[in-house]
Parts: sequence; structure tokens; C-alpha cells
Amino acid sequence: MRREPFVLLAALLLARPAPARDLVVTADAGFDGRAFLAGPVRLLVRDGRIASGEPAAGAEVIRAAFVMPGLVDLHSGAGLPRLANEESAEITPSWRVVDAVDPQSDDFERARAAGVTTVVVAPGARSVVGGLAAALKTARAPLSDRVIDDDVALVIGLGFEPALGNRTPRFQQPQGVHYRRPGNRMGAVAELRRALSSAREGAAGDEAATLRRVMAGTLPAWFVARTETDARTAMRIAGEMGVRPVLLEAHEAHRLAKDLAPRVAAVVLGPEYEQPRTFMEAVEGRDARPAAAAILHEAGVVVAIATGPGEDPGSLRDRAILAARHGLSREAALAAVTSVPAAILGLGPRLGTLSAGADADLVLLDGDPLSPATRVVSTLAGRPESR
Amino acid sequence: MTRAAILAIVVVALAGSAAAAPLVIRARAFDGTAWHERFEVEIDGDRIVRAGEPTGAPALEIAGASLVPGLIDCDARLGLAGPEEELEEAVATDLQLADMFAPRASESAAFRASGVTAAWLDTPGGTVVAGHAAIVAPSPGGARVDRASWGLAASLASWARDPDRAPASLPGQAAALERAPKGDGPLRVRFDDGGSLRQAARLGVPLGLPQREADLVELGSAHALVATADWTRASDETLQPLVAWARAGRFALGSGETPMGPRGLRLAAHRLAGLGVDPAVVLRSMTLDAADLMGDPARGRLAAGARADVVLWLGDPVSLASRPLRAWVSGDEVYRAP
Repeated sequence: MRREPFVLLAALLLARPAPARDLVVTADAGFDGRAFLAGPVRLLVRDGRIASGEPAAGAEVIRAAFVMPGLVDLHSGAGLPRLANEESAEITPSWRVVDAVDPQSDDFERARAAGVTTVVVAPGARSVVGGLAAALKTARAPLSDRVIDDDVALVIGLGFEPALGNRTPRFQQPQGVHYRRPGNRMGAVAELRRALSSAREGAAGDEAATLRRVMAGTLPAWFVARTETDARTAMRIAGEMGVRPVLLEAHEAHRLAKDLAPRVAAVVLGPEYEQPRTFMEAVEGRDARPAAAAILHEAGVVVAIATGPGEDPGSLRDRAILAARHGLSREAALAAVTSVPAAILGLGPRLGTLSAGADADLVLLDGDPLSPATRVVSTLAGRPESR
Repeated sequence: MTRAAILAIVVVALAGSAAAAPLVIRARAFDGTAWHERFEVEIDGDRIVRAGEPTGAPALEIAGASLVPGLIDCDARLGLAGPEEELEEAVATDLQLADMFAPRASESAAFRASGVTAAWLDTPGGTVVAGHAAIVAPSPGGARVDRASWGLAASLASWARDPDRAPASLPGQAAALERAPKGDGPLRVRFDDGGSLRQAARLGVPLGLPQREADLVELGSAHALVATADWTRASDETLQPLVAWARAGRFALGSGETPMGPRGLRLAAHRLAGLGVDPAVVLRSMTLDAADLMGDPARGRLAAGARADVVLWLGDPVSLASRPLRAWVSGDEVYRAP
């Protein structure tokens, strides 16, 4: 137990060259990110990627019942503190959540053990503009080797949460930084509009530049929109910004599925819950339903399933199983945790697929991935390599 | 052997005649990296002018004593009068801890008798930058500021986050520290968890106690670490990650929150050696490695040109059974065992 990190450290110090040995994975069945593959599946892994062609002599062979791409959790709390925001300000577009991550947190180990090879960690909704989300591999390696992209999207918090903790001066002189807007839902929107308009008018600084990137369409905007109202607000604001938003924690998006389809880039579901467990869940998004994924998918909305902040990062496959049980097709349920989130990240050719050239992030299972009785046998991480 | 016999000083020359004459000390010695059974050091003024094989010149020799470079405490709380942190603002680069250095007589006497010849002052890290850190040293009859501004008292630890003052998050702290003017000297950055360890390693030299062995991969091979804790309270289990690091990586030690101040440095050394770290590595961490990490390679070694900060010990300083007999700082004798 105690020796393992030392071995890791020694490996690091010796700067060991990557093993060039080919790896062949064979399975009785599989899923390629979009569809199930019947019959024997055979994959060649070379230099951390899925390759085509024949393996070199002496290739290692791994057998499994089922193989699929490593799961992609589009909204995870892995390695993050309970409150992932710079609470002292409302508009923090340059706040990088990757800098807040505890890189070797047990969360990543749990995610890995459950077949999750990529997570997106996002700032919380305690600030109106929380900052920049990051896509990370869960592989066992220094964080610098695992960061795929440290500004995947700008996360914007709608609803009541940005107002939580803020106070208005009544009988006392303001002390501390929490005497400020927003005090309520419309205050949050007003703060956002103000920041956007000053950025549009050419305000100086890094923060305004980040907001301009969003309005130019080069940086995606992800809105935390838990209630139906927030989802509608997100669409409206995004319309003003001229972008198609991604909705996070969209518990009530299923209520306006038809309206959403042409106007949002995607909806990310999660956390799932039957009964509200926290204050925010009790006041916002009470109409969370396990059937939401099926309803949205039916209406033509791009749906990804995620675990959500504060949840067990190892529960992603359980969420897909739950969605499949509540009406989502088997293919769509698995795609919602593999190819769909990869496409939302713009990393479609690299993640969530078994095509040649993709990262060799693979999950090997001992049976049907949508059965709760099936276990993850092993998770292979392509780049950086670890097993 | 009686104590009197051990202390029988064989002074061949230097009968108090010429104060300016070079001092030659001959003893078993640790030069910063290894022990030498027969070693001789010649001190002229505040420098070591010759170090190596004995020449047969008249020398100070004490039976059974060992000559070691003065120990360096890389995270000391010593003689800071009043609250250590100005909590009004998170980044206070206009403050200097040296301006608060006013040790009580008992504190400086204990400092002189500790075998430590340089202590790098710091605060517990309740703000992102509490001010400029300082190096203090024992002086004949007291203690003095050696460098008034050397590095910042910087902290990315969770207890330096305050939503009512800003920054309230680790990325906010890191950004504030990056923006702060650094001044002279290397930047030590206090950390607590894995995330702040990674950021601290990115910005400077991490200062603290690693909590998990797994976090050490974030340090990489090039980095050093200043290990600091309350060495009277830290359990053996909490020291394991440091022990793992000490097998391969460079480190220095700080007395930190240990109640007895710089004397706590030897407790740290004693505990690490007890947990299986090579005593010579522990001693190097308190001398040569600490000096290099401090950005002052003229300290922490017995070599020509180095500062004449040397201590004669009875026993190996890594063991708590040892004690200093005589100590010189910049060639001035600051301590002589009663």
C-alpha cells in the first residue's frame, strides 16, 4: 500500500519512456458510441490510441465480455470543493475551475473504477458568471498531463443561487463584500446583462475579453438553469448574446422540450433525485423526473447525462441505466454518456468513440452495460496511459 | 567518560591573544552532504577560508565533538511581537515581518542554544500575502535580522480564504499571488491539500506537510518542498507522505507551529530519522538543501568561501540525545555550552 506511490514517484523521476507495446482488446460484444456492435469486437491499441491494422508480434491481449468507450461525465464535482466559486464577486469570467481541483482526489479513482475516463468540472452557480469549466482525464497521472482543455465553456449561474448569501443594507452600514446585487432572480440576470453590455462596449481587461469570446461564439456558454423559468431565461439571454446555450442541471427542461429543441445546443441532466436533498433542490427544479432524458430526446433535444456536482462521480452509468429504464432507448442512453458529451465538447473524434485515431479510453465490462448487475472489469486510459 | 573529560578543551594555540587571528577547528565533520572522520575548517572573519583534510596547524579540538554547518529553519515563528497578520487585506506586500522582530531575552537565548544559525520567519498563513518574510540569526548575546526582506509570507492554504475579504477560492488566491510584486528571494507558498500543493509548486516552493502520498506526483522531480508542521503533534501516520518524498525528492524543514520554536527543527529531524529516513539526508535537508532552497548557497556547508555559520555538537544533531557545544554565526561565537 505504501510502496505504490513511491513506485509512481520513481517512475516519474526516471521519466520512463511510454511502452510501445501493442495491446489488443477482444470482446464478445460492444458499443461504439452510437450503436451496439454484435459479434466479436477486436480493437488494436497503439501509443494510447485506437489504431487500425494488425498488431505487432508480442502484443498483449485482453479479453472481456463487453467493451465500450470510456464514459464522459459532462458535469462532475470530482476533486472540487463543496463551493466551487470565487464567492467574493459575482462576475468572474476568468476564474479557472481547473486551478481549484484537488488533482489526486479519491473522486477520480472512484470515477475510474466506474468506467469514467473524462470528466468536465465546472464552477458552481454561486456567482452569476462563475468562470471557465475544464475537461480532464481521470487517469492516474499528474494533472498537467490530464487536462484536455482548461476553458471548455463559460459557466453562468441563473436562478436564486447567485443571490444566496448576499444581503442588502437596511439598518447597518455594509461590512464585507456580500452587500451587493443580486438579491434575487432578476438581479442575477441584470448583473449578467450589465457585464455583457460593458464587454460589448469594449471594456478593458481579461474578464471582458472572456465575455467577448462567448459573444463571438468561440467559447460556449453553459447556463445552470434548474427551473423552467431559468431555462426560458437562458434561451432569452443566449438569444441576446447570439449563441446557442448548453443548459446544466436542467431539471425542468422536460416541461419545455419542444421549445428547447431548435434553440439550445444541448441539455445536460443531473443530478437525478426523487426527493430534494439540499436547500437549492428544495427551492429550484423540484420537477426533476427520471423520464426527462426520454422526453427531451423524443423532442429532438441533444441530451447528455451527467452526475452533477456534489454527487458520487462513480454513479454515471447508474444514471444512464435509470434513463433507459424510464423510456430512453438503449443506444441513446449509452450515447448520452459517451459520444453525445464528447460531441458537445467538440472532441467527437477523440472521445466517446471506438473509431481509429480516438484516445484508447476503454471500459471493459462483464456483461450488458445497462444492467445494474454488470460490473466494470477494468478501465483503460489511453492518453495519459494508465491501467 | 565524564562530562569534564569530554569537555576538556585542547587549545593548542589561540590563548586569547589575537582576536583577528584565523580560527581553525578540527573535528569529525558533516560538510553538507557527508560525514568525514577527520576534517578541518579555517575561519577568517565571517567566512570559511579553508575546509578539508587536517593540515596539522594549531587548531581547536574538542574530544568527541562533531562540526556541522549551522542548521537552517525554513519556517520559523520567532520573536514576532503581536499578531502576525494584518487581516484587513489579503495581499499586503508593503509589510515586512522584520519590522516586528523583537524577541524576548529568553527566546533569543534559546535560539542561540538551538544549533540553528538562520531562521526564515513566516506566519501561519492566514492571508494570501502577510508581508515580506525575513531571515534572522543569533548574534553574540542576542538575535538580529540578517535579511529584512527575503521571499514573501505567502499562503494558498484553505484558511487564507475568506469570502468577506476576497479572494475566497484557490484560483482567486493563486491569481492574487501571481499578481503580487515578489521582491527578493525565492517564493515559498504555504499549502494544505492536493490542489493548493499543485498551485504552490507551480508558483514557488511548497511549504507545508503533504497530506497524501498520491499528491506528490504533482510535485514532479525538479521540485523541493519545505516540510513544516507542529512536530510535537503530527502523528507518524501523517508524516508518511513526507517520508515517501524524502526517499527521492529534495526537502528542507521548518519548525512551523512547534511550540518550542526553532529548537523544534531537531524534533522534526529526529522523527524523520525514526521513520526510516537516512540521518545524513535529514541533516543535509537542514543544512545544504535548506540553503540552496533558500537561495543562499553560501550557507549550510563547510566549504571555502561559505559563511562561517558552524556549530560544534556533542553527538549527531539528528538525534535528540545530542546537544550543541559551541556555535559561530558569521565567525562570531554566539553560544558556548555552560
